[in-house]
Amino acid sequence: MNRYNTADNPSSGGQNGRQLVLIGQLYRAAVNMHHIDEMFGWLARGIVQIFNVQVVQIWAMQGNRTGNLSVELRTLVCQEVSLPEHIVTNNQVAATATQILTGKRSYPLQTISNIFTAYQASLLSRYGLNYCSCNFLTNGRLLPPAHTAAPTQYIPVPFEAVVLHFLRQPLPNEALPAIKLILEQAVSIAGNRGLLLPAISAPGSNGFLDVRSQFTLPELVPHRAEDANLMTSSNPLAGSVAISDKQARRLYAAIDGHKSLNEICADIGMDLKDAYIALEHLMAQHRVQLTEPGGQVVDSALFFGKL
Amino acid sequence: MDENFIPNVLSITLFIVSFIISLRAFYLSYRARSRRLFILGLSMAVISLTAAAGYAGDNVTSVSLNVDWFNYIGQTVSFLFILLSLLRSSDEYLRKLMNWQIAVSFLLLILMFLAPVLPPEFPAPAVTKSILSGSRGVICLVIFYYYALAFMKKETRFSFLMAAAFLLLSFGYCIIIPKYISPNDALDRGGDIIRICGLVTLFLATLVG
Repeated sequence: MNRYNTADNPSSGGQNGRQLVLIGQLYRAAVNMHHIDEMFGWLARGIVQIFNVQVVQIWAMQGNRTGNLSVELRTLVCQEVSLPEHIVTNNQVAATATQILTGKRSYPLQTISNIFTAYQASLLSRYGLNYCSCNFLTNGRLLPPAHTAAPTQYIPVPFEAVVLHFLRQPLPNEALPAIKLILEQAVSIAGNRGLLLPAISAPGSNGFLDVRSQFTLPELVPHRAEDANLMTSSNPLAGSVAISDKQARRLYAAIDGHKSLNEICADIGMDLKDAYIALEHLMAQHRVQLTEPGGQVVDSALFFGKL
Repeated sequence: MDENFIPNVLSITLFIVSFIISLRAFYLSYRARSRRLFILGLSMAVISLTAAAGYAGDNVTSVSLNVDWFNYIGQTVSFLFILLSLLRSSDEYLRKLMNWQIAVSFLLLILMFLAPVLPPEFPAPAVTKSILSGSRGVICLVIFYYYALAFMKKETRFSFLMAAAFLLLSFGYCIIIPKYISPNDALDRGGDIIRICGLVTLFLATLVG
């Protein structure tokens, strides 16, 4: 079934009409999407089908729990199913995608020899793929790990992606700006639909949701972080060493590196709201670090913003 | 000049400097809930007690007080705990260190109260005193090394003054070692004066560092 019905719009022949049709359909389809990869796939198929692009790939940064970032292919759609996947998905294409992501810029339509190595360009040419354009996408939200990724290994990272379009022949002049606009609209819709995660989670009435952690803030374990420079480079007897806030001092004294925030609050009779304020105070002074019960360090910015 | 003049000045200076640092460190360790500051406070408190004991040992003649055991071991152990607290910053490590220090300081207090009943002479005094007294110098030298490294990493007035203070203290402790083999007043007084300079520098570091 054709899911990208260009007959929806009377001006379907023009690029603007195609663009409007696709965005309209995306708005409707996004209602039933539950993961950003569904949107990536939908978009790639739509661009292939409506703009007659031979191959669309979406590469994005992914981060694992040890803090390492890598580039991952999130979506691949080929117009011709007979095209061997390894021709367009291999280390050389991945390296090019990494370069584009690192450079954070889009490239207009150009011959593939301008973008890829001679070997890769000849490989692509052999399959009739002579042109390529790249759209770099970013916004302030976080990209969840791929739906196929193990949730215990990967974490959401700031959304940065590159869309590679492989073409047999150049597209009409207006097509590429139209595609660019569609992609930007799609990112915006993904953010609004919650398919991209908010960069900072604010505390809510039902606890403090952490988009990177499986745990809520009260379940996390605070650890004291003694200033390594205290007594070597900085005077330990200077007044600035003291914790001025009384509640923060109480909380800090109860931190033993084993108990969760919930348990500490129960021990010292402090309610979670006060504990949150006290913890924020301690975080701002870099005196405390949060970990999951298993010991995995949690980025405190997700709870407290940039302190 | 009274032969005890310089040792008394040293004892009083050591007491005043270590007592003030100890009070300030304890106060701030409470205000900051800092284990490292507690370790510093307890170390300096023990050192101030060794200074008071040393003064008593030099000036009280009505009873025989052998405070040297407490002096040498107390100062060595206290400087050692200061050094150990600089090595690592993990909370678990500092907590264990603090517990050990409390236990060891309690034993040192027992040693201090035993001063009137301890034999006046050390066994093999030249060797025993050289080792016990010299160990303070060695530990101060290692602390100097740490502060010198800290200064090379980040040039701060505090690390410079602390490095200078511990170098002087180390030198002051080390140059008096020969006196335990053959008594030498000049070395003894020279060592005491250098240590007084080291203490003044230490005090300056905490004031203006």
